[in-house]
Amino acid sequence: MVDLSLLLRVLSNAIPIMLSAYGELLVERSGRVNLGVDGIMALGASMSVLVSAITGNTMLGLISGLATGLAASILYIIPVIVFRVDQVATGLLLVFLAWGLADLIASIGYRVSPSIPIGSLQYNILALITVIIPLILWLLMYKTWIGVEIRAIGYNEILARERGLRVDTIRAIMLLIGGALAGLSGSYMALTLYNGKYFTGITGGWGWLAIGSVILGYWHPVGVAVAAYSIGLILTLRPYLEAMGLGPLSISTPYIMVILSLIIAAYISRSPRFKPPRIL
Amino acid sequence: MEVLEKRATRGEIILKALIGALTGYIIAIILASIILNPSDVLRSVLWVYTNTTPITTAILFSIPIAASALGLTLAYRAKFITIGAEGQVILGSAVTLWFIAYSGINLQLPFSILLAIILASILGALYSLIVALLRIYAGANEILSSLMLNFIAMYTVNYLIATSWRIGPFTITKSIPEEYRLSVSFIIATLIVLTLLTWFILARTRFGLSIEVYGRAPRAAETYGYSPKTIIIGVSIISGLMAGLGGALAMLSFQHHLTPMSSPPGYGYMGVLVAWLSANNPIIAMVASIFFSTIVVLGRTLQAIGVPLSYVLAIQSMIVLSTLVAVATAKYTIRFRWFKW
Repeated sequence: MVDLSLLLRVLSNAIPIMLSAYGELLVERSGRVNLGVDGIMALGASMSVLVSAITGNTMLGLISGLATGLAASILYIIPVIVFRVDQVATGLLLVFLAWGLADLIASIGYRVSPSIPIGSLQYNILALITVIIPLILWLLMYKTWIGVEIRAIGYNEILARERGLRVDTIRAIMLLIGGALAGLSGSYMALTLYNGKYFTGITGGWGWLAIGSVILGYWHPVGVAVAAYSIGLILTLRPYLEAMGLGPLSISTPYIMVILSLIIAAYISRSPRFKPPRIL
Repeated sequence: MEVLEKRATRGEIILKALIGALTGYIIAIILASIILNPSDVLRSVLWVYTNTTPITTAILFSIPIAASALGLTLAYRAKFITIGAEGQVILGSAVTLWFIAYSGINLQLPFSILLAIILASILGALYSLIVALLRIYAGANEILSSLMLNFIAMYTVNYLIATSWRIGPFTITKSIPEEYRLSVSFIIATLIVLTLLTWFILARTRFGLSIEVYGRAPRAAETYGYSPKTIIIGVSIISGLMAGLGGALAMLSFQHHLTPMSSPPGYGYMGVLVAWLSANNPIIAMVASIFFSTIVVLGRTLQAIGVPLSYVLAIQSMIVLSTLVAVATAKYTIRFRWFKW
């Protein structure tokens, strides 16, 4: 009964969400929430399509997506870490800014290369990475001192600061990693899921789903992987749900699931044993 | 790195905010001119700010932005950070279109418009109430849940446009008939009334005071007998009413029909940006939303020379971001210590 092709399709839908979610997990564990993930994904997608259209090399496109994510997260780090601007405001502003810039970059793409065919990337390597990353993250977070520092900053910033931890530096590094992963996931989306095409609204709110899957996975690496995989499953099943005649409800299922996960996470966090990091 | 707070006078903050906004605008225009012909871009900017036609259009476009921003100033003062205005605007305009073009209910002219507007406002308020109830009774964070509801609203309306509302071979809906369309003078009057109403609620009512107190010191507000539930439900209903109203007026004054949205049209998000830019002051919010809608008009002229329409929101967020950073430089001193052992 197990259909391997369906499994692969679920995985290919889940990978972009997983990648962004891991980055966001590190960010939220260190006590900040980067709401700009969706924008960074779009920016990474359009940059990677442009670069791989010019160079004809998809690997280069993937790397440029990663670099774009790094650069975009600097736009978040400067206001939030240096100037103490409200993180929610900055995150959302980054989303809108990045959406616009992504479309602007795509409009160069149309002028440079009207129809360069782009070979789509094979997703084997990334799929493998996606299985390995949660293990690495788990080791990092629960078996090393760096992980303890990250979690300490997330739980109690003032205490960590008094204890001598470099709160701002660690947060900035986590934000850079998170941005890079979000850019990578955006370029993965454009280069494999959509066969090297970029269009307006390419992310379709999947960045928000990544943030939602961090909450659904309750800020644990393995939990996040499972949550991202289940959201990927729902995304894959969307056409079937639509065929069942559920109409607009089928398209909205992943978003409804995120709302449910918010409720569940709020319920769990009432017990003193499972405290989430203070992010907002 | 050390961040020290310092005292800034109101004049200094306003000056820095204006400089920041201007810098953001210029940066965004320069970014667009790198890609396109700079003289074309400059000519469009000049055209928007020197003619009467674009200014009139801008006043029309400003109504959904201003209405949602004014409602959000109340919500943000109570530290209820809802982003749901976008979905409420979309639903408001969709239900207005449904009532006038599809429902088959024929009333006398002013009453049908009035009823459509009331229906849109109520729908917006109900949609906003979901967020408040989720926050109060389920503890769900209002930022994410309201964002998710935006997507749900957008996809639902898209579905309606593609299926039952669709006419002809293209996915486009019926239009609002000519006699139902609203004029600029009506929009200006509504803008002024809404601004004064918001100012009145904030400055002259007991509810406005409770919002202010709850936002600044939630524990103190509770101690003094203000109920947090009432405050949150109240601000969410008012912001939803206003956003729905904005959507209805947008549909009746300039949208006239709906086409499928690949990404959100953004009037509600612009309202959010305006509320942040204006530091939750209703009068500044009204002025700022007219300024932002001139950028919408600019975006439409830039679209003719190849700038994507979504760049409008990017220009605006660049402005807000640099304003927030500029205000922060007035409030904090930052000392870098590069070598810390």
